Amino acid sequence: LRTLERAGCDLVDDDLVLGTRWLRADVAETGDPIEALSIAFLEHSVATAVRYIGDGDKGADLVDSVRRTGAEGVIFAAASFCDPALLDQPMLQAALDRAGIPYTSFKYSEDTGQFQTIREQAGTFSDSIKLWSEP
Amino acid sequence: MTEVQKEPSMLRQKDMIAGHYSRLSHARENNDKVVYTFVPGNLTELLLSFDILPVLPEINALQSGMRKKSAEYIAKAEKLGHSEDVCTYVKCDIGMLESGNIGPTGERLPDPDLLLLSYTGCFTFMKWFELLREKYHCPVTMLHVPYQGGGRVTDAMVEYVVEQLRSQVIPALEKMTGRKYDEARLQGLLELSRQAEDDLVWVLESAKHRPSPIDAYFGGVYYIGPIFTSFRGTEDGVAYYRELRGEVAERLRCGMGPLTPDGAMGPERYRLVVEGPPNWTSFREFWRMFSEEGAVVVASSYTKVGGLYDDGFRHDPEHPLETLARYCLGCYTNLSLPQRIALLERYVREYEADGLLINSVKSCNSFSAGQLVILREIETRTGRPGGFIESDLVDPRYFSAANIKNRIESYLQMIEQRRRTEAPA
Repeated sequence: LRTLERAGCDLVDDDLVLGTRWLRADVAETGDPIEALSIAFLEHSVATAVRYIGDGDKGADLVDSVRRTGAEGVIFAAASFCDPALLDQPMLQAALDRAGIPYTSFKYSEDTGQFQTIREQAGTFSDSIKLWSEP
Repeated sequence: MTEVQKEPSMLRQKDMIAGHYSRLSHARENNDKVVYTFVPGNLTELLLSFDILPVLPEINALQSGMRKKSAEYIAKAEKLGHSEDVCTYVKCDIGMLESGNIGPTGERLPDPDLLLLSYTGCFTFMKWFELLREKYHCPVTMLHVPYQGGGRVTDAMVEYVVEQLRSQVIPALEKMTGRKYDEARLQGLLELSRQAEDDLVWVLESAKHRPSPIDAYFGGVYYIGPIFTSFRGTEDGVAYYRELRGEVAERLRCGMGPLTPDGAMGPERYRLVVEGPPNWTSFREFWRMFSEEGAVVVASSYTKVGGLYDDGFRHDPEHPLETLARYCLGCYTNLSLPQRIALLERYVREYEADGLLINSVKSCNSFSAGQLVILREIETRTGRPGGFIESDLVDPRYFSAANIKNRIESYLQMIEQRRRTEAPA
């Protein structure tokens, strides 16, 4: 995160530590508690790569997040070999394309030597937004 | 390259597959409905009871690998933004779709009327059909099969799957075809499945003999072909397995070893159990690395991904939906790590194998996660040496022939050395 900030990016939203903010609405306190928890997880949880999206537009939540926060672009930073996140990316990127939102992507692993490359890539991305994005 | 040796059952299978792809290519003009689904947890009998044609994307991908088309398809998918780290079956399928969806027989595959997402332990399946839904814009019906985390199938798990069949899957198939669910017809198809499964298990268990008349991995992938794909519950499937059983019985009677693409294998020197899917892009070369050394695979886990029958399970026509549920729950990819270890340990002992060899596939988390633990545990429990090689399903960039051959030879030397030290003085 520090590397991205040093590259000129202000991070206005993220999907880190999702487990602590998984549910977007309070669990109903009346009725069958098991059913209430089931509904909360099935219908009121965050749209993430590990959740099957049966209906609705894939990537809609990400586009909403960009609009809500006034972000100018999206950085996809997925761990190497993380199938859910990496398989999700083309669908999310297509949603961003449709919405005209710029993005870049890279993978990371436990090799700390990659930070310079990430910084250069993120820096180029933020520069391109500054230079060529419509005001 | 020598001409591939084929037995009548192989030719029969080839004709069956060609006929199926031909039907698929004419599906639209014949008003046939088409469902894409996965090998593990496939509901072939249910689909056939509605006269629906199944398409299995994993099979298309492996066929593309064997036909040397997968590199081009994967490159196309990667250009479209798919990571180099993810399942190469998915990328191969996406690349094939973007290249005109030409199937293994050179004919165009029809678009799906429905994506039947049978989820049996492989998380990638969910993402795969989310990706296909974006391309085909067709409905998806998900069959969620609970993972055997506790190491057994409970009645509640069976009821949960049956309920989904009743309330989700069957209504979706009825809506798509405009036909009512016909349980009597389904029962008839399940009876045919049971017959074929009996013969398949007989063939796989023939490898307990010395020499083994079959190779249960490289040869095994051909043997599971019909029953794992579109022919479970068909007269063709029954006829194939009856013929195959006859051929294997004859080899057994004559004391012959497996038939490889290069002809009859030489003397059996090593008996191995193999865990993990094979590499498809260099399949014949890969097999030859074993057969030239006299190494025969007597049992494998990969031949259980589309159904585990050698533990006694058979499709039961008397309980049609329950038996489909139990089938889905029992597929190898839906087994917990301790269950996989127990199964492989049983194979090593019952098939009197010299050891367990793992082919770890780079892009298949469903198989590869935990394989080193499996290896060490089997070594500890059986006292027989384990080997570890790495390749990929359909990405030829990850099949390093020299490296793999070296490792196989080293492993076989280790077995040889072990025999010498254990031989009575």
